[in-house]
Amino acid sequence: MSNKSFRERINDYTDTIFAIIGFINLFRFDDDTRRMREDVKVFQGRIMRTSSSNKISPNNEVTPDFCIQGSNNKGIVGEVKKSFPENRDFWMDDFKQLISYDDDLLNWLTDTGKIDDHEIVLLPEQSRSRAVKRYFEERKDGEIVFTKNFVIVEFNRNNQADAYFFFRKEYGSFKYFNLIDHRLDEGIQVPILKLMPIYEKIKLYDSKPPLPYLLLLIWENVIMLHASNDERFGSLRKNSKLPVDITIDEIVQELHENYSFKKLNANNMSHQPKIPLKSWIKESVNALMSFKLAEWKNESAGKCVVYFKKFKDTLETFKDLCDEHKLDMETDEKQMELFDKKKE
Amino acid sequence: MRKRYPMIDYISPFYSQKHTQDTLIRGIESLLGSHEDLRVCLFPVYIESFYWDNLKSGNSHFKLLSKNDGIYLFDFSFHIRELEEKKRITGKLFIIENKQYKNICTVLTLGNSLFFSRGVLPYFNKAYPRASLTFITHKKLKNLLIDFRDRNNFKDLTIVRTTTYSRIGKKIMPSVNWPEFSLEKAFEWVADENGWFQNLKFKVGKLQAPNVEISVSRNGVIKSNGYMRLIYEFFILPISKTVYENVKFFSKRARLDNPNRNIRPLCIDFGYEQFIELEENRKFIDAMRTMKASSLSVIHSNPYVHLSIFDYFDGSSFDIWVLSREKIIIVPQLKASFQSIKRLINHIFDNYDEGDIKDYEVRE
Repeated sequence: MSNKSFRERINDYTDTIFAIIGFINLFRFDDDTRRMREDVKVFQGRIMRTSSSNKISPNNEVTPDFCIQGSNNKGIVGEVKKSFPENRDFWMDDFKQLISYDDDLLNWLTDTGKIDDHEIVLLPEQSRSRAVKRYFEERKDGEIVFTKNFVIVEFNRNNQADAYFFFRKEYGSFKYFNLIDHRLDEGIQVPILKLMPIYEKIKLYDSKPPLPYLLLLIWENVIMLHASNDERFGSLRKNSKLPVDITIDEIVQELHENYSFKKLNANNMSHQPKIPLKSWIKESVNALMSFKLAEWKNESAGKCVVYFKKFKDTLETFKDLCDEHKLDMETDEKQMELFDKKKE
Repeated sequence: MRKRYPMIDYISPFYSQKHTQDTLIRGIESLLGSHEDLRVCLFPVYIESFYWDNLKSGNSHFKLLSKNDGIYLFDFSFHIRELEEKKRITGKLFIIENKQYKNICTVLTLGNSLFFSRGVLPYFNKAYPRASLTFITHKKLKNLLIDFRDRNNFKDLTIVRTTTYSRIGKKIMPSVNWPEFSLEKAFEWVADENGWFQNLKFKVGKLQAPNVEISVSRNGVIKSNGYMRLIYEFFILPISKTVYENVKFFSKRARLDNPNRNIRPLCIDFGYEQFIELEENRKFIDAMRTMKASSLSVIHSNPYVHLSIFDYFDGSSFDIWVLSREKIIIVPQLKASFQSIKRLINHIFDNYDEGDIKDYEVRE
């Protein structure tokens, strides 16, 4: 896989985070007070419980990209799809995932875990939104049936210097959130300038980031932070290495505390997976081992030593190393496999 | 062979006196007036408390000789290699604590400028980040000089020598010039060259003091053979204030230093539409790639810029964003020392362009 592909995937990943934050903030932001509403709760990657009558996954768990819980005891459950696979045979899987939310889901932030009703929204990137809408309309009375209200809202990032995300309704209407619904008719621009401060504290969501990007986050925010406490750090030469003793749990904890949706998830961590997942970090440490930048000290206890090294371009170095070691290769098919696993 | 070191110590009586700040400055002014070849070299510097204590306690370079009224006199020693021979050079050095601004001192030497330029200044540069000099923006430098000229009625102030860096494409080209310009003309000229003065030497006037030359560097180093009192008042004190204000403004920006690990970004505001063409993004990124002892990762370069920068001096890190045409936003990450923020901004100003440094207000 070329560096360009990693770059595209990193763009997709960061764009998805921007899109999630941008969209949920449309419902949180109070135009009158110019502040975020406390009575609207939002969740990313919340584990919701399905009922026995669920058409796709009965009595199971699903993890929508986001849930919005309004003060009216109504909600929205949604998925952001920055890229749809070239092969349309896979699109039905995306819709199956959405159909799995067409249920009286449990684990909302209420005493009973239930709310009165929720709507389902799909956010495809603008370049595919018409095709996705057509795909849905061709099947809506057959293969794809929603009993709950279903809406498609397209989004894109503009290519101008004053960058912003644009959201516009492509299909259906929100019946419980009229104000936003009307604004989405014409489309809403959300400047990245407004999203950036939130993004700065949320660089990870419940989907595994491209490996070089995750390695960059680990390197900067965990390994370098620990290494810089060593008095040899400042004088460390280019090709020298500084050992840092660390555990998988510590890496998870530090990234979780500083770069996950933790704060935005209504400060309620029940039913929330701890992001980053331990398995992602273990995979990252294994990658560092392939690059001879880490060694296990006690694998079963998750203890390792990472050898900090100063790179001139850390992200590019990790992209090249991943390429060289053929790590984190991704095809449409693999993407779908991972996706299915995540949703199981 | 003629022996060049150690320097001739013809001012011993001056060193043995107990000085106050006032007598020190007046004494130096008097010495400069009576010794034609005598030069004073001085600069304001931030020194971390524990490091300052270490210097006062003495080490292989510093030996405290006397102290009075916040003025410390040291023997300062260093080694140089000359014709494959290692020589130990020792000289006198004053460090004056600023009474108003905590941790801000002025380092001062008299006499041999080699002692200063090969020993004292490199020592403090190497002590970074425990000791940290400042950088003076072009705007500030111009204002300091205008203030010095106008308030002292030095109408004939002439720039006689400049060390200039010009931004030519991706390259920064140094040059030395002897322009004999007025102040305004010199600053117009360097703006036309798309550059900045690293160092600027001037004469105050043919009538008032024909032989007095003063040089001011971007890092706050001043050298002169006269006008000590005015130099202290018009350069050292305002630069010390800038050092202090920068320390305050750049401090506690790291997420680990803030409640809820909130971010405290700052921005460089150009005051006009700087980032109009995409080429400007590339130019900025290229400039950032030249930062020494750092890692630069480009997360996004078009249409907006998002960079991740690590500072290998102390492990500080930053995200840098260009999300509008007028501003560069700097978001200090978990660890970000004020020294590192200063170094980063200094690099942007030197290698890309200067703007106004401001707090970037965050509303979530």
